[in-house]
Amino acid sequence: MRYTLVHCADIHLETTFAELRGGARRRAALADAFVRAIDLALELGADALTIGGDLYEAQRAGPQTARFIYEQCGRFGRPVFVAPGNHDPFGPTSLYARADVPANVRVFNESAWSPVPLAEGITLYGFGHAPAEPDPPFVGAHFERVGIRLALVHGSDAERCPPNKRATAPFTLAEIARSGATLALAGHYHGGYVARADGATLAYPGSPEPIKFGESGTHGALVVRIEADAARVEAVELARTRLVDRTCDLSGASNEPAVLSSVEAALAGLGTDDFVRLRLGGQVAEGTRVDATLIAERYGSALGALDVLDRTRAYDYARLAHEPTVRGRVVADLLALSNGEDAPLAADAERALHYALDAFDGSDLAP
Amino acid sequence: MKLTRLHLDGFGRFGNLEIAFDPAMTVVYGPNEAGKSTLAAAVVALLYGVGRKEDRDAWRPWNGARYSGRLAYELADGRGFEVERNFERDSKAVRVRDRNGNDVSAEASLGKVVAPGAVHLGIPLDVFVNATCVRQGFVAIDGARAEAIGTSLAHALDGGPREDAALGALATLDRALATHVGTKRATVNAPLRRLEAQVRDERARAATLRGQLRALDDLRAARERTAVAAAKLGERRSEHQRRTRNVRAYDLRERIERLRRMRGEIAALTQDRAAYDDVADFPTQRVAELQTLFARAQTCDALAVETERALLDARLTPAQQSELEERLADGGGLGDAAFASLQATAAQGEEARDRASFATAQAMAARRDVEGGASLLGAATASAVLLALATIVLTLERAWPAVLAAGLVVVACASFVVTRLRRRRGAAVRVRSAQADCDAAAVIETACTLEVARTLERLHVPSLNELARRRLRATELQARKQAASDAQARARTARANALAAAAAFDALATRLAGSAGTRDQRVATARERGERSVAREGLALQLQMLQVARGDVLGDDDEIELERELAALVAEGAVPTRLDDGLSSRAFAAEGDDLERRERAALRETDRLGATLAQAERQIGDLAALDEGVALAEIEIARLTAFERAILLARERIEERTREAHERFARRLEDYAAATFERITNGRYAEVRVDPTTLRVRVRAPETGTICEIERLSAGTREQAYLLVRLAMARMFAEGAERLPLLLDDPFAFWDADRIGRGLPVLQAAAADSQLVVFTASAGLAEAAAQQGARRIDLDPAPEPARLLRP
Repeated sequence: MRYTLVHCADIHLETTFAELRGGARRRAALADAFVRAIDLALELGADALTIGGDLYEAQRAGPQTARFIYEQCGRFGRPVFVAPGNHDPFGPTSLYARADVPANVRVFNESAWSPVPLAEGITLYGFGHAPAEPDPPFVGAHFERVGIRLALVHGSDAERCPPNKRATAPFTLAEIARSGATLALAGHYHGGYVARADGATLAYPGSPEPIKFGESGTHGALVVRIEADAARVEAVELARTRLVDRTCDLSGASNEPAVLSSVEAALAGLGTDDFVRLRLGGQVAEGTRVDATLIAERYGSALGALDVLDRTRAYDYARLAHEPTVRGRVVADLLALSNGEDAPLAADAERALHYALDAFDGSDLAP
Repeated sequence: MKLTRLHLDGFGRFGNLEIAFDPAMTVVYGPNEAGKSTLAAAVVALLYGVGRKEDRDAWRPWNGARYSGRLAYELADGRGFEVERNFERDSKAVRVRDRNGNDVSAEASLGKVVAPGAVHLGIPLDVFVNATCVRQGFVAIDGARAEAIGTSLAHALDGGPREDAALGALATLDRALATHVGTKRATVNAPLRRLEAQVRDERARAATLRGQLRALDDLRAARERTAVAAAKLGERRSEHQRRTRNVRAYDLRERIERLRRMRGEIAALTQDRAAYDDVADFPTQRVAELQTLFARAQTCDALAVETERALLDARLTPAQQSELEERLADGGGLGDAAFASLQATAAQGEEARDRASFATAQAMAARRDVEGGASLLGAATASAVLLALATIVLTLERAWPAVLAAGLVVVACASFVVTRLRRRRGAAVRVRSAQADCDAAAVIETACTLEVARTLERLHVPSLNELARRRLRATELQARKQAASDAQARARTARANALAAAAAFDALATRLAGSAGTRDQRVATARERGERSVAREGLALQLQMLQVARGDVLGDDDEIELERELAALVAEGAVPTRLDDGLSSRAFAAEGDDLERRERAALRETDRLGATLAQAERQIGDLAALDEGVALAEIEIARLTAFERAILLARERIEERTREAHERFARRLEDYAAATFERITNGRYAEVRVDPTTLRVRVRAPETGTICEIERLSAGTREQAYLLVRLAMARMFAEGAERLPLLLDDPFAFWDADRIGRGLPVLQAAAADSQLVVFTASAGLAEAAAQQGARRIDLDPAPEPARLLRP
């Protein structure tokens, strides 16, 4: 017996993008990616589609979002299983609780495991988020049905949780293995990966389009093929946009054309699907104009979006600090503050140093 | 910096001029209009350029020579440079070469401008001009000059390649803050406040939008509730319709049964009614009339018989008729008035008799009064006379008590006699009056008696009482006669009525019961026929009621159609069922109507809510874009706030360091100047104060020990003080940077020889630190300086361009 399902998660419809401009286009790109996930399922003739939570963001989703989601689910036609996540928890007002949910959509609306037999020897266990954060899902869970046991859940792989981030509904691969699940189809991490241990597999498809900078891993969907009591997972890239964090060292640049030339080189190979954050650094020659607005205007049109962060230095601070002038004294003062332990004050002092020298230079200042 | 050589191809009055400077002090001597100031200006122009076009034109060569020059100088680090400048193009035609003739213009540039002065001296033009170039007669630092020098000083101290330095930097920071953040008082250009307001507005819009989304949820829930309610009502209505069909079938079946029963009853009644068809037209209502007429005939007949019997009783017998005639002939013939008059006359006679009797009695009584008491009167009279006499005697006797007693008796007796006499006279009058009355009454009695007697006699009646009795009898008999007459009239009338009633009865009885039989039999016959007629009418009424009831049951329907409808309902599965007990068909129908109405209302409400929901959903905006806008605006606010903090921090440090630098500079300036000034003034003024802001110079006066304004000193001393300050400033500018050459354009024009003698050491001391170029018209100063080792250059006073120059 063969059974195929497509798993996706973290589409984050109606999310906001404050890191970078071009939010509307990126939201549209996320919706397109969901459409491509459905297309993939149709193309493969998948028997079911699973969604591992955060399909949309509840605080902004409205009727249009609901219509879009259910239209796509309806287009797929076959069973769709949804395990709501922390951004789209199941509640009385959630889109999943609407009366127009298509008949082929099954939402796991409890923070407890619910089994659904998919086919002979294949059982899908689903765990949904409610508005209140659930307990770790795999603690105390036992999946005992015969055959392949799939677990659909939204939560953090505690072993890979970033250091400064709080884990949501955390679990470990060992817990998954102990629970008896053959394969955990998860959502939450936007960078997808597949991990295996003790006969269990944990698979994150990642968000179908990158959402934030620093998301390492795949962005797409997972194709799960079950055959002869074995589940094989294959990641399929669906992302068409990229979040690119580029650094451009302008050290030694003594004029604006040189600056622009370096920037152009740094942005080489990027196109309209790339949303770029460009950090300008290095020490340019005194009097060298570095106009972030000009750079954004000049190169942004060829990209999805371009935000320029100017961190260049046009002065030799150490030398200026020894200048027996007011400027020298000011530079020395601000340099000392910028090297201090008070981080906010140091950041302010660093900027103040930049602005003060430009002001002494008579240059126009801009935030 | 030390100037070494100056060559002017053409500059003002000079053409092809070559000057070599002494490393320490050079004195350029020349009379007025010899070109001393032109030379000083040429040095400045070669280092910094001529600047504005009017300045450029001012120094254009008089003789049309090439408007250019060269200036060679050495820096403290040993490097030597030559600046070549074509003044026609000024900053665009400047070349700086090193000692090897290499073009090092780029190294001496600020941006695109070749600025050897600013680069090699490290100070801008205004600082150079105001601090180290002392123009003719302007040694003093006061007013606008002090301000210009102060500003230049500040610029020089504050650093930076541009001329505005710290003050300019502060202005730039303020401008940036105002432009990108906005000031507190700005109303138009306040980006930060605008952003904050934008965030507030967009948050409010987002909250409104979220409220709309919640309202949509409510609306959707309400629509679903209504739809469910409508569906339930629909189910109930369907069930009610099924029950309605069952009830309808039951009703139809019942009606059809009733109609059948009624049809049978109507046929039976019709047959019964046919048995009474003989009285079909009998006027039943007239039977009562016949009975009334019968009773009336009977009554009238009885009344006639009775009246006739009463007539017989009332008739006068013949004896009574005779008596009546007799009585009418005697007393009965007297009229009532005559009889009354007769009775009155008789009564008047009786009254007169009584009055005569009474008058007689009165006369007799009065007579007795007159006649009685005569002896007593005589005795009294006699006694009175006697006693009167006795009294007289006694009076004479003077027996006074006796006199009094006798007198009293005499008076009493006399009074008695008088009274008695008076009574007798009155009684006599009464006797006469009574006698007269008696007589008059007797006359009247007589007359009346005679009249009554005559009447009785005429009627042959013995007395008045008999007359009265006879009159009464006559009246009684007459009344009876009248009564008999009345009874006779009544008997006739009664009989006529009885005959009329019998005729009326006979007429109606003949119609209702025929003419055979007695009246009683005919009445009985009529009554019987009437009863049969009533019975027939009863049957007819029952028939009519049945017809009406059937009509009611059937209504406008057709019985056959009803049977077909019942058959169809049964064929559709309807089970004839009667309504529940206690539930009327009207209530049942009303229940169905109510269900239908409520279902329609629920469906309408569902549709309405659906339309409202659809419309509301169409109006929902892009919340994500709104939230994103808020987030981006908040980031921008954070960026602007950080910018503001950085700008304010930079500003604070610049202000602080500027203030410190100025104060330090002022104190050091004081120290520099004070030592030399003490020496020049032979120890008189050992303390000099310089205001850091205004550069105002003050000294401590030894006479008072107080600090006083320099204006209180003599003009020469004042100029000395200012010169010292200038030189001190030049020395201080040289600290830590390139030392400045001092160009003094005839600063001692008004100094006498003695003062020059005291001032020259000051210049020499200054020349030890910085190169000094003194332009002077004072031959004494030129000579004295030359004697002290300064290089002297004399300018040709000729108006034509000077060509020379003697070293």
